[in-house]
Amino acid sequence: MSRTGFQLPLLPGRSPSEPPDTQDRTRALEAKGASEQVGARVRRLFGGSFHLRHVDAGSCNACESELKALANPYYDLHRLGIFIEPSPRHADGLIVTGPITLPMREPLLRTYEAMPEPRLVIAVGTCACTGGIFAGSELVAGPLERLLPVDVYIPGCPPSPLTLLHGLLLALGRVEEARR
Amino acid sequence: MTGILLPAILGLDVVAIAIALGVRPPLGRRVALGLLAIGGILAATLGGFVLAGSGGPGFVLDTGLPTGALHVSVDPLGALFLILAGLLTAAAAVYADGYLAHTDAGVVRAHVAVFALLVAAIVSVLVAADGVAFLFAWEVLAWSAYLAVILDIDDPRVGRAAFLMLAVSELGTAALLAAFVVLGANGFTFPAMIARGEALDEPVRSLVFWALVLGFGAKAGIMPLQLWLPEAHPAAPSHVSALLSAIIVELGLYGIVRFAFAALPTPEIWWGPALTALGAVTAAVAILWALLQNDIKRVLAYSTIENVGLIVAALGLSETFRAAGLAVLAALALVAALYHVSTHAFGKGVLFLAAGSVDHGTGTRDLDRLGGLTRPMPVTSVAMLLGVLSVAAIAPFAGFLSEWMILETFLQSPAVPLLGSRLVLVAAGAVLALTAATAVLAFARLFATGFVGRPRSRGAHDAVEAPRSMRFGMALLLGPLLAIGVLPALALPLVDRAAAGVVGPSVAMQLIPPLFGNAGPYAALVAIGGATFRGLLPGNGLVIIPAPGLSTIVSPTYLVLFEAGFVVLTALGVRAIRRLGRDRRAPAWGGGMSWRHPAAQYTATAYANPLRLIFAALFRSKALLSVPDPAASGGSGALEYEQQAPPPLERELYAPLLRSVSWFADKFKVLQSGDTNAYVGYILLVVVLIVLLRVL
Repeated sequence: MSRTGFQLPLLPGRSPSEPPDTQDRTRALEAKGASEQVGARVRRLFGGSFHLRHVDAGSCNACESELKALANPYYDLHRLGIFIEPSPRHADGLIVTGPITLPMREPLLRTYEAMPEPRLVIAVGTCACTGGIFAGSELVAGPLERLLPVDVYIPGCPPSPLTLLHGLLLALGRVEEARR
Repeated sequence: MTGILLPAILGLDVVAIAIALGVRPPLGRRVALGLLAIGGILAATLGGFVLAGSGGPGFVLDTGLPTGALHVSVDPLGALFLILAGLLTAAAAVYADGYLAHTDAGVVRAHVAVFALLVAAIVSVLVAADGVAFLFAWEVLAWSAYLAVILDIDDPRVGRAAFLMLAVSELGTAALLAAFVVLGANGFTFPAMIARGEALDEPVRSLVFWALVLGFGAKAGIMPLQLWLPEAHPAAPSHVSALLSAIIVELGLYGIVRFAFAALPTPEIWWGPALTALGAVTAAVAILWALLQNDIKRVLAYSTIENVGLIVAALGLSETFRAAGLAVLAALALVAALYHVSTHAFGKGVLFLAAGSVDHGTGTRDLDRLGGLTRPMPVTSVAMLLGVLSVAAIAPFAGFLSEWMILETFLQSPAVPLLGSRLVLVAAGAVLALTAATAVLAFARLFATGFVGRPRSRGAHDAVEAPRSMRFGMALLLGPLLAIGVLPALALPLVDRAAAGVVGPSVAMQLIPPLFGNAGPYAALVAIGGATFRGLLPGNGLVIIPAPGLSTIVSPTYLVLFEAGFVVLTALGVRAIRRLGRDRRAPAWGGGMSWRHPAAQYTATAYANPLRLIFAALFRSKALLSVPDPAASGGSGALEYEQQAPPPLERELYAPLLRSVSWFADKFKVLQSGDTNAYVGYILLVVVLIVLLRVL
């Protein structure tokens, strides 16, 4: 097995000898490539340990579902040295989902305040990026860019795990840029 | 000079009684308490003079009593207690002015007069130089303490608590009376009593010793007579609780040293170990129960029992060493015990005064309803913190060295030849070490839940700092508390002088090696800086060696320097590190929540819970949860939760005793039928019995 440990999935109703279809193969290779790049950057920039704090600021939980998929064995985020952290004190970056409802505004700002610098802010999903269908509602304080300096926008309703991986790659790229 | 001081002190107290009764408050209260404070300072001065070596005053009052003249004098042992009593009275009297400001005028008049009588009684006990004068003063002390506790005359619980205190005290006096009658067969002057004690034979000697321990132990709170302390201390007004805990309880220990030790110079070998075991059990049980209490004053009262246990254990150790012929070790143990009496007196005095000002400022003493007091009550909080640090024996505060010295003398117990005594001493030492550690827990709990955090009730939220006189009273005790903590080498020679001659020689030179002078065998200590401040400070040196040889060396004075140095270094280091990077202050992370209910804070009950579960077999605590019937209360009733852990002796000894007494009374009630014919029958029966006895 290769160093990245990536193997094609065994889908139901298909015997292991049968070749998987082209779409799966393409996606798998894409995921593999992205993962390898993310992993390399995490190792280079963060010594192999990149911690993120996630705040659900009124999301419908679709984004959470996709974020969680990043941790499953298919993508296996931890293998790359990326961890979702319970305490903002230990986090390098903040992932925000949802349109920032009014009750979640204060906790979100407190979380950001509690993070050490430098800190990345990643808006995940249409709601966090633009407000989505809630944009302009008097009950939301978002979109996120009105409250915090956003480094990376990851659009999608919800964004797929692969999109999220690309977003993380982008975020790490910004760190690399800043370091130069 | 000293000849005038003693009449002056007692005279001031008498004038204070007259003024308190005769002049209306607030003027009468203020003047009377002021006179008491001056009297206290004079008493401390007198004690200081006597300990410094000038001869104490001596009087003989011929009263025409059949027991002979009353003798009054001040010796070094009494002088040490006179210093403690004087300073504590002064602080308590100043404090009482603010504390009583809002009490009903008539009650205050009587209370201040009784308080002055109590103070006069304390001084009299310490200057009495014969058995009759001592017992007389002792009884006045018991009764005036009983009256002084009852300030809140409307609360029946206060009356019951005070009565319990008096009852236990009278039980003790009965035992004392028996012992004194035996000792005073050839006259009641102290030399006569000592001579008689030396001449006593075995069974009587032991009986006298244990009657004295029982009698004075009732005042000191040694098990099984400790039961009045946790009741009377919370019931009493705080200036009285401070005197109770810091002086009156210690007078019991004074009595043990003065009579049980000095009057019986050749102890049996089993007295010491038995006393030590009693003290160790008292200390261990009391500190465990201190941990469960939520009333600040109850915590302090149990801690007082614990400290008394510790001191009694050290006294037992001294007696054991004396019985084994190890006079120097006996003297060291006695010095350690008396030094702990001193540090505990100042520490507990401060704590009770601070507890009173918490009660005054918030209206509650329940730890689960307090919190967040450091900001509204800064002076009280600082006083409480310093008292807590001292009583919990944290270096370099006063209680640390005294407790250290006691444990250190316990480590010398292998010198005792008898195996049985050695085993008891080693076990007691281990129990006392555990007790000391638990005390830290109990006091951390007291300060952490009572003073820091956020207020848990409206009273704590609206807390106000104590008035000026109360703050001044607390500050008056903080001075000596900090001084003897930082400069014990200057205080210990005084304690040594008080102890010298009771069980052994003076040990000042051994305890504090002469590093400032000719260091001799201790030259190595001088080489590592043990003579710093030579020439600046009087005395032998600042290093204390609590046990023979160089087993341990401790110097709180130099420790303070080091601690201050570390604080400064840390502060400089933090500044230097700050300068390296950008610095941003962020609030504490609370899970993103902006508001938390203060009741969600860690409570005193919760803090004690792990220990309550570990020692469940001992505590046998019960948790009562009452759920109101939703139908009856309309579905809005509050849940009530209560924890009970009755102290072991009350549970195992006194409750069955009371039950059996009332069972007997119930049975005898049959005789009291109220029928006249029956009573005439009884009389006839008795007459017949007498006639029969006469005839036979």
